[in-house]
Amino acid sequence: MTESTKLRFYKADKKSKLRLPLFSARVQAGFPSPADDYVEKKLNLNELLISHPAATFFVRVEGSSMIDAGIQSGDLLIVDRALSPSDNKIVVAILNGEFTVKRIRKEEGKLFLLPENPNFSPLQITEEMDFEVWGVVTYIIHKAS
Amino acid sequence: MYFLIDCNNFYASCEQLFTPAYRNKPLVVLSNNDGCIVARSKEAKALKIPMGAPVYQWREHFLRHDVIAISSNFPLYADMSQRVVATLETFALPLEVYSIDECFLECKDLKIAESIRKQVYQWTGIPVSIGIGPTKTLAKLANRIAKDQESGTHLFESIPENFAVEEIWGIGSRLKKMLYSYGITTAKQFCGLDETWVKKKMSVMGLRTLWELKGIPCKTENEMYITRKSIVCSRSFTKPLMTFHELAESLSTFVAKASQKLRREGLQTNFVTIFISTNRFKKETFYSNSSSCRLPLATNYSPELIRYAKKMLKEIYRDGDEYKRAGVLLTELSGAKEQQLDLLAQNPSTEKEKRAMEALDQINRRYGARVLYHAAEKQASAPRPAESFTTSWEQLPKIYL
Repeated sequence: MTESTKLRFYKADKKSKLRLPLFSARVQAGFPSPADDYVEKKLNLNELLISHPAATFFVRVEGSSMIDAGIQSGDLLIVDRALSPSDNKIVVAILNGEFTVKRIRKEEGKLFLLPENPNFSPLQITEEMDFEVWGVVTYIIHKAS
Repeated sequence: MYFLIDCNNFYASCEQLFTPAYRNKPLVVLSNNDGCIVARSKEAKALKIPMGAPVYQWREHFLRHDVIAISSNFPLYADMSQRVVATLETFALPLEVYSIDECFLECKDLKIAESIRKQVYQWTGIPVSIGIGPTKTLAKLANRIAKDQESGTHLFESIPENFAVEEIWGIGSRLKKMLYSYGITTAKQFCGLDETWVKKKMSVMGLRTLWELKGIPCKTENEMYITRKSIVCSRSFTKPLMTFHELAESLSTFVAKASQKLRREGLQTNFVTIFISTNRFKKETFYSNSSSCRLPLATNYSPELIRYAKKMLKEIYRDGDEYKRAGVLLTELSGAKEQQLDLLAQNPSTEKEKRAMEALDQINRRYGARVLYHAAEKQASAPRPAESFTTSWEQLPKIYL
């Protein structure tokens, strides 16, 4: 395989800031700060919450069918398409041409979509149904009122 | 081996990803002004709806076949394109982005094609087709064939009998005409041509295409990474404009858009050209004209460029004409840091201008395109609400639980 000599230019992600202090303290009269050795980088939410940026999307939800999972109306969900939808995961799915968010359960070769609210009933997914998992919900962002 | 990875029905696929109700239905995406068709879903292609066709001609057909027609959503397409590229990058192979929905990749392992298709679809939701060949031109040819395959991938074996000559990468409508006039209509026939003849009639570029079809790689990367030479922004008007004021307004919008592109790519311009024309199908009254000027100082400052554009418009505008098209072309581009000073020109307050433009661009980026515009610009006429789904916090997909 030939080595390509092109240069790839990456656009800086201006939205996420990773502030690294150049030096921690101005040294006055030669007294270094005892904390100098412990200066670490600033915390970055993107790093914490997003594992696969290319496959990560955000959605806004409304409604109460997932309240017991901690998902409230108006919340923001982080959805990762790169993760596999395994048993017990909360997923964004397409059901009959519409988006929905539910917990999936795989039991004895059967697939179920479970709401998290006693007022809603589980649904078994069968072959003939128009169903597709869209992505796995990784984080729920709820604004403290 | 070269892989040409191409997104299937890209714009339509982007739309279908965020609106599940659009899947498996005939869908077309319309250009700015909703004037012509710029993308079709698989089902729309099956209805023989052609690319680039003007909407008004096909409206009846749309109604009869329940075709969904929607306005384009470029912030979405640009973002999705970046995601596809980022996904391909994880394969750590030499990668070259060719267009918004095509990339070339180099790899000896053919089995990786299936993994690539799977991963791109899983991560981004965009289905792709992969053509594999010993040269880029053959990879592109194989890709055409791949699109009709169940597997979505195709390794080049031989040029199919009826593969049209105009489908070859590097042969456009002009060369097609020329070749057809000599009775060359298929790729196979093209391959049988004498090399000296091809070089004479099609220049060295045509000869390279011929060699590539024969399996000799010669379309090297250097040609692909041409640094930008110009920026154009122009549109046709659905309803012709008949006053200077309207035309100036539209032109200012185009200039603002083009300047935004300049700033985004870190460039400045030294030469501005504007052009206007009436309906070219009404041959008797057809009028088209352009005007250019060299700027004393390279700039990407919108208000200044708009000023020059308006001044030039005054020179070529004719009262009583109905204008169907206008645009701006910015050339003699240079890096925004480089600056040739003009002794005689009044030096603009560049720092203040730069900050004003940065603020403008930042606000437009944060709140969705074109929230802030220059007073001279035309306000978008009844746009569909921009749902950029992936580039604006206010426009995320909403799911009802």
